[in-house]
This record gives sequence, structure tokens and C-alpha cells, in this order.
Amino acid sequence: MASPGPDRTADRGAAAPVDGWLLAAVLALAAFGAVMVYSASAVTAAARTQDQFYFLKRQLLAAGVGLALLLGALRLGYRRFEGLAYPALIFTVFSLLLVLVPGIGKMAGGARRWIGAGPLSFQPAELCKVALVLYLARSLAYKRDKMRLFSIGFVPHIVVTVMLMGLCLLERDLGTCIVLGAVLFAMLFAAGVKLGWLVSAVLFAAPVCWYLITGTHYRLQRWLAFKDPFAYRDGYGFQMVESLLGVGNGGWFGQGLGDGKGKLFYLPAAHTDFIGAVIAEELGLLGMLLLVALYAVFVWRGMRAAFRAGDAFGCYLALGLTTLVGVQAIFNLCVVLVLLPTKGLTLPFVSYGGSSLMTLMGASGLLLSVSAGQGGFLRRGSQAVRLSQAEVAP
Amino acid sequence: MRAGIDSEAARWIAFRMAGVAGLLAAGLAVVAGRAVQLQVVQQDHLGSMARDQYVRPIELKPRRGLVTDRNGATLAADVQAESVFVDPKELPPAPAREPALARLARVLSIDPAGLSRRVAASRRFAWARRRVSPAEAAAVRALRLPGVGFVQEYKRYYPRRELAGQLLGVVGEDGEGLEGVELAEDDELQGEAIHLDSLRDGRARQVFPEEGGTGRVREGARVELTIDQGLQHTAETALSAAVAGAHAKAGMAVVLDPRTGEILALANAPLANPNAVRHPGELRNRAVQDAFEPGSTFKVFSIAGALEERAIGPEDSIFCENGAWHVGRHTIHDHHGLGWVTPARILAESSNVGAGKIAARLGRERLYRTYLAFGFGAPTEVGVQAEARGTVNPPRADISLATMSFGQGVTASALQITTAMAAVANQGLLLRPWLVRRVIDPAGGAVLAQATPTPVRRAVSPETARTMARLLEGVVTDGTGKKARLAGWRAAGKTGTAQKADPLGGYSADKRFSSFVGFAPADAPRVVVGVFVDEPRGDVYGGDVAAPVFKQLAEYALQSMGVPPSFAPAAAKPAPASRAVAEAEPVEFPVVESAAQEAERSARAARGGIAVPALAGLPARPALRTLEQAELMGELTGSGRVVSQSPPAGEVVDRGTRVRLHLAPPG
Repeated sequence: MASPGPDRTADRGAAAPVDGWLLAAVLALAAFGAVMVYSASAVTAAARTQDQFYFLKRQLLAAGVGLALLLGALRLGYRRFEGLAYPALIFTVFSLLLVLVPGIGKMAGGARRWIGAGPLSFQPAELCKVALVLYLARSLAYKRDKMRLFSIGFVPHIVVTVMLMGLCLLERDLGTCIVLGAVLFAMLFAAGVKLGWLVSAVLFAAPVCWYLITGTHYRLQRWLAFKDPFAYRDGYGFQMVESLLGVGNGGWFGQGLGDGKGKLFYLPAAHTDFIGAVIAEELGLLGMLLLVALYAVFVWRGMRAAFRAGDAFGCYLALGLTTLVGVQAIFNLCVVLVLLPTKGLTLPFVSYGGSSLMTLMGASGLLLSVSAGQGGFLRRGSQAVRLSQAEVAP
Repeated sequence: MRAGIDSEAARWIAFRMAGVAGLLAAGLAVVAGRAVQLQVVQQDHLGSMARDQYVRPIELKPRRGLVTDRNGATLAADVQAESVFVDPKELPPAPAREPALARLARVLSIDPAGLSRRVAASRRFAWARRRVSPAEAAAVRALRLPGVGFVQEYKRYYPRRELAGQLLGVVGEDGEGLEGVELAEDDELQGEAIHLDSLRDGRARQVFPEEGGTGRVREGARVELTIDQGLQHTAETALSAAVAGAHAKAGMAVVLDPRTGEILALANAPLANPNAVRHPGELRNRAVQDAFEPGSTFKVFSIAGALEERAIGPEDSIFCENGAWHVGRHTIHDHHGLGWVTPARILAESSNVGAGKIAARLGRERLYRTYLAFGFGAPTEVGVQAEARGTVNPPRADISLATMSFGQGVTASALQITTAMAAVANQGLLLRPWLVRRVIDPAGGAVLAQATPTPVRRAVSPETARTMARLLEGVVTDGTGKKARLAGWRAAGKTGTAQKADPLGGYSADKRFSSFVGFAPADAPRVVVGVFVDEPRGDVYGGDVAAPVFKQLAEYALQSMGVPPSFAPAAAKPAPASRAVAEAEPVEFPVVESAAQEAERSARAARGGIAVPALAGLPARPALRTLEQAELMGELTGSGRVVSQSPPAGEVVDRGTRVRLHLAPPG
């Protein structure tokens, strides 16, 4: 494996290495996640299944598969996936619809998000995010010059994304919905869509969001609880209060790895959505800053890959994937720290969840593949090298 | 060029991408800042709330100490009992909840509305009922209700039921003394609780931390009373019979050892069973906590004062006005009119006129000081909560001087009067009455506290006391107290029949307070007995109602103490009766039990040691309890269940030997 080190992207001939920093950040996050999943879930797992390693085993299995996907994607190269953008989108839509079919879709925690049976269940919403990024990257790269046209640069992307968001809402998955929206806006914005359209879209979406929140009992309650968690401590505010207590109890250096108390049946979803609270409690501010630093490295090197991408598709793909991970991490941690109301988002690479981990690691393979680029789209510094490659490659 | 993008467009895209990157960086910075805010700035606030939630300070209370009588017979002990609680969160939800609670309430025979209220008011814990019987616990288990749990607790048990009920008192729900000896000796009986922090998980289960649970507790100490349970029982039986026979409202009896001040018996009728208190008032220790107008028994103290101050001589003659003496606007009457008589006669016939005239010679100031010297108007400091001090005021008029001399217009408690009489019996030296002989650490048998006789003051000189004893003997031999004559011993005493104050003013026409206070043997007193009957009907005189009880108690006490008779019983008549009482005793009372216990203890001592019990597999507390019962000390290491012990089971060791137990978590 490549180890983090000094900038290796200096021109060393035709075969440029992948970004060691980025790879290190991904692997560190996944490893950190496995440790924390075990710490957060051992007690619950032992109580529920008599096997304290239940969740750890599954997480490690998913990490292994994810690593294989990562290496596979890296070996194939991101350009091969450009053609897969539309099939992936169609497959995603199909599987999202399948989730809604009773008997195939599985319920968990009030949401219908899984398909499949037993250990082979899968959460299409996770795939959906990456599929959207692939689709947008391809579409934006093709329509490069027409992005300023309303009907070509704006409308189709909005329509496709809103359709995916709608499907997610039917699964009561507001979190994915919001991440999809954020990725869409980041990519459209970067690709040159007029700011005015984006602002109007937001203004148009605002009343819809308002209706979605106030029109749904549990979302409204969550919102009210968010504003004053301690007043709703016995109900919707419970999870937030427990999260706050856990985080506050962590202090500077935490209670020590494994010594958190919140996971002792206080904090619901301790090993999934609220693993951040367990990290904060057990490793303290130090652990939180380490976590934030790892995501910062990911965002930094991901953006760097986008800037140095060899072509438009690679650039937008890198931008989209980086935004996807960054936004999801920020939103999840904001929920854990009660800066945003609870909405059901996992902490990328860290939270328990096979679908999420495998998809994200596969996507990281694509991002790493982009990171091997030497410029050519936005940067002209090493254009000469890129040009010769570009002419051979297609 | 395939990539075909002009540098202007590229710069524009790069600029916008930098904006996205900036937003993500800002988001991460917000997260980091919020983490600092919560984990550093609000750390104390949130951390303490978290600890409130996770950590439960728990108190491991040692078993409450025994209360025994002077011979070691158990009067109060702790036994295990289960308490039932409800976890509202685990109960069935709304529609099924109320019927479930109603069924629980029915099984426990408690008020369903009250239970619902308690459950509604608490988040995770509400008592259903504490200290239930094994049958009730089994019935609750049979209901199989989710959210209903059990806690092992101790229940205070009074094996001799009514015996000394008001004296012993009761304990509250948390094992704290509320009344009587249980309250007065609460600190000793409770011992030292261990405080440790237990971790509690989100399902309200306790997770004991590794470092808790070791170290030794000071067990609740054993409190040994001065009471003799046989005498106490006799006092209660005889008093209850007298109260019932006279259709009286209540009765009190106090038996003291005049040479030490020890309270040998202290009875209140009607009796109360502390195991099942029906209403709080019945546990009132009236003999100590209530003061009343005593009546003629006070003539003992007024005449003793006059003799001491030489206001009169024992052989002086006093004119008793043939039964009616005008003092100012009032007239004092006697039951039997007397002429010129000596103080002996005045006492024997209980002449109010005579007592009044003697008091007139003594004077207001000296009568008042005499009463104070005998301890009236001040608490005896016997160690019972809310002791009555009585009221003794300096007389302000001749009539009040006269009435005070025969015990009207003053108040005193039964214990005060008996204690003052004990001073007469004890050569004039007033001793503090006491109830607790010793406090013993049950672990090592070490005596933590030992009471000794405490002189309060000299009330009268020994000569005066001797003179009074002689005069009081006359009351029994040929005065109002003939029914107090003992079979075999010379007795001395005084009757009293007070008119009770009417709440509407003046004195009640028919309500009386009858008493007899005396001691025996008259020449060398070993026992002082006060018997008081409140509102007897029919035979109202102290000589008729109270004196026979005195006789029973004094005879029982002298016999059980082995005091040689003062003279051979004149007739065989009374003797069989007293023997019958003595013989009946062991059958009725498990004195046998204490004898057996003692035999076992001494046998063990003779063998030279105790076999160490097998403790493997036991949790810490039961293991310690087993050791405690075997009179051994435990020393714990680790937590969980006992896996090894040293010395091994079966080895014979000395009493109090330390047994080291190694504990490990099961499985």
C-alpha cells in the first residue's frame, strides 16, 4: 500500500502514482471506524446476539469487500465508468423502486431502506449517491459549453436529482435526500450554472421543505426537540440529549477507548448514525479533532485531485465524490453535536453499515484513480504530458 | 484539443470549485468549533449531567443490629424480605398498562390509584410495595408482568410480638429508627453503610464497578437493654389484666433496680405489636412521654422533704381536722376523718389534710425545692425521645401549697415517680434511670459502650430515706396498700388516687388516676415498682387497682433474682400462686432458646474454634453474611462470585478469624 508522504504527484513519467494522502485518509477512517464500531456495539451485540463481535465481523467483511472494490476501481480507471453512468442510474432507480415493494424491501427503524435477505441485504440509497455523482459528472462533462443554457445545463439535472430525492423521501430517508441535493448544487455551481437559477431553485424548494417538515409528525417533533432537546428528553429529544451528554462527558481526552457509557443502552444507534458521540465520549476533543482532520485531508486531497484531473469527467467526478463524503460527514457530525436535527445519516467510512462502507470505498477507488491524473482539464502546467497520454488513451 | 476548454472557462470553474472546497472547509471548522464548545466550554455542565445519569451512588447498608434483653434474648432482628418495584418504561404501553397495574395492586393488596400515581410520576423506578411476604412475591412473579422487579431488603422483625412494643419502637421503610429504642439507638443499630458508585445502564440495570464492594463494614451493633424479658412479660400480662379488669383506659408499669437505676421492665397497656402497627399513636411510650397529676403518691416526697428539713419529726402529732380543713375559700377533705395522728398514720390512711398541714410547716419554697431534688420538673434523660418533663411550679398560694403536697396541681411521668421512689429506696440517692446496658459489635464481640449507674443528686439523707421506708412499710401492713403485701418479703409503698383534671376546668367528678408505687424488701430494697392505671371504673382506688399488680411484679422479680425472703411465709396461701407463675414462665417464654444458644456458643468455645463454612460460588454479600453468622471476618478481593477461600472450608479456626475470599466474575 502507498503510504502518506511528500507530494508524489510530481511528474515521474507516464505512470503517475495515486495520491498516498488520500488513500491513507480513506484507510485510516475505515480502520478507525472498525475499532469504534466494535467499541460502540459490543455491549448491544452481546445482549442481542450473544456475540459481541457480531457487528465488528460484518463491518470487517464489508471493509474487505470495499477494499477489493477500491482496488478494482483503481485498476480499471475512472474513465471506464463514464459509460456506466446511465446504466448505474437506471439500476439505482430500479432498486429504489424495488425497496418500496412490500416483501422485498425491508423495514428497519421506521424506514424502508433495504432490499435482499439475511446477510446479503443492501441499501440502494447508498448506491444512489454515487450513481448520481457519476451521472452528473458525465452529463456536466458532455454539456460543458451548454451549461449556461437553462434547458440543457439546468433542467435535466434538476429533474433527475429531484426524482431520486423523491424516491428517497418515499423511503423516509431525508438524510440521503439532503446529501443528494447538496451534491447537485455543488456540482452545478462548479460547472457554471448561473447562480440566479440555483438561488431560485432553493427558494422554490424552501416551501416544499417546510411542508415536508411540518406536514410529517415525526419530523416536526424532531424539529421541535432539536430546538430544545432537554424539554423533549423523554421523547424525540432523547437521542440528542444522550448525544450531548456523551460528547460533553468526553472532555479534552475522553473517558478512554471502550469506557464510554452512552453506548450502554442510553444512546440509540450508537454504532451507526451516532458513532460520532461514542468517539467524542471515549476519545474526547482529541478524537473529534483527529476525525475532523481525517475528513479535512480527504476533502483537501479530493479537491486537489479534481483540480488536477486529466479531463472534465474526472474533475467533476472527483468534485462530486469529495463533496458527497464531506457533506455527509459534516451533516452527520452536526447532528451528533446537535447543530442540526436528527435525520439518519451515517458517518462515511466510520459508521457501521456494509452498503455504505462498500459503496464509499469503491467510490474512493474512482477518486484515487482521478488523483493519478497530471492535469489537463483545469491545469495546463503539465499539459504536454497529458496531451500525449490523452491521445493514446481513448 | 479534445479537452477543449478555454483558460477563461477553466479559471471560472476552478474559482467556483474553490468556493465549494471553502464551504466544506467551513463546515468542518464549524464541527470542530462546536466540539470545542461542547467538550471544553460545557464540559462541566454536560459531564455532570452525564454522571448523574450513568452513576448511581448506592449505599450498602449493613444488617441492622439486634436488640436484646439483659440476658441476650432477641427482641428485634432483621430478616430478609423482597420489595417489589415497577419500571414504568418497561411496563406494557397505554391500553394494557392500567389493567396490569390493577392486577399488581390486587396481588399486593395496595391501592391501585396510588400505584398508578407513583408510576406516572417516575421515569424508571417506583416502589410498588416494600417488604412483601414470600407468598406475595411468588404471586407477583406468577403475573409475569414486564417492568416489575424485586429488590432484596431487610425487614425488621420483633419475634416476641407485643413484648416491650412501645419501648422498642419501629423502623421506617429505609431501616431508619422512628420510635423508641430503634430511634434512640439508631446510630449504633444502623452501623456504617458503604457508599459506592455503581454504574447504571440505559435499561436501569446496575453494573457494579470493579473497585467497589471490598473493605469491611461496621455492622449494626447489638444493643442490650436493661429489660428482663420475663419480668417485662409478667408486667405486661399483669398490667393488661388489671386494666381490663378495671375497664380502664390505659395502664403503665415501671420496674427499676434501685441500686443501679436500671429499668427492668417498662410496660404500657394496651399493648402494641411493632410488627403490625395499626396507628402511630399506639406506639406511644406513655410511661415516659406522658405527664399526669399523680395524686397521693406525692405525699411520700412532701413528707420526706419535711422530715429532711426537720419541719416535723417522725413522731410528731398533727391534727387532721377530722377530715375537713378550710384553707382560704377552699376545703380539703379526707376519705376517713382523722384527729391527732403521726406522719406514719397520715401516710397509711393517705390523709390529704395531714399532708397539707405538714407542707404548710415545710413552706412553699422548701416543698418546691424538695420536688426538684427528687427529679420532678426535669427530664430523667433515660434516652427516650420526647420525654415528658412534668410541671412543678413554686406554689403561689396556701391552697396550692396544700394540694401540691398530695400530688394535685403538679404533673409527673410514671418513670419520674418510680425513679423518685427508687431514690427513697436507695438511701436517698437519686440515680438516672437507664435502658441500654451495653452496645456490642457483633463481629468481634467487642463492647462498644457500657452503661454504669449515674447518680444525679442526693434527694434526702440516708436517715430520712430509712425513716420513710419504715413509714411506707406501714402503708402496706396496715394502711391503704394492704393488697400490696408480698408472700415472703416486706414491702413498702404508697397508693395514689388522683382526680383527673377536667378539660372544661376544675376536676372531673368520676375520672381517676390510680397508682401504687413501692419497693421490696423494705429493709434492703432490690426492686422498685410503679403501677399506674388511667381512668379505672368501679374500684377506683390505687390500693385496689394498682397494688395487686405491684404484688405480682415484685414477687416475680424478687423470686427470679433469688432474694431470700424477709420472713417465712405466714400462710401457705400466697406461696403456691407465686411458684405457679415462676413455673409457668419457661414454658411460655423461650428462655430455653437463649440457653440453647449460649450452650452452643460455649461448646464452640470449648472445642476451641469454628469450622469455616464453604463459600465457593456465593456472591460477595451472602458470603460475608455467612461468615458473619459463623462469627468470622471476611476479606474480599476481586468481584463477582467466590472462587477460592483461605482457610479452606471445614478447617477449624478461632472465632473472629479473617477468611480471605477471592472473587471472580462468573463464566
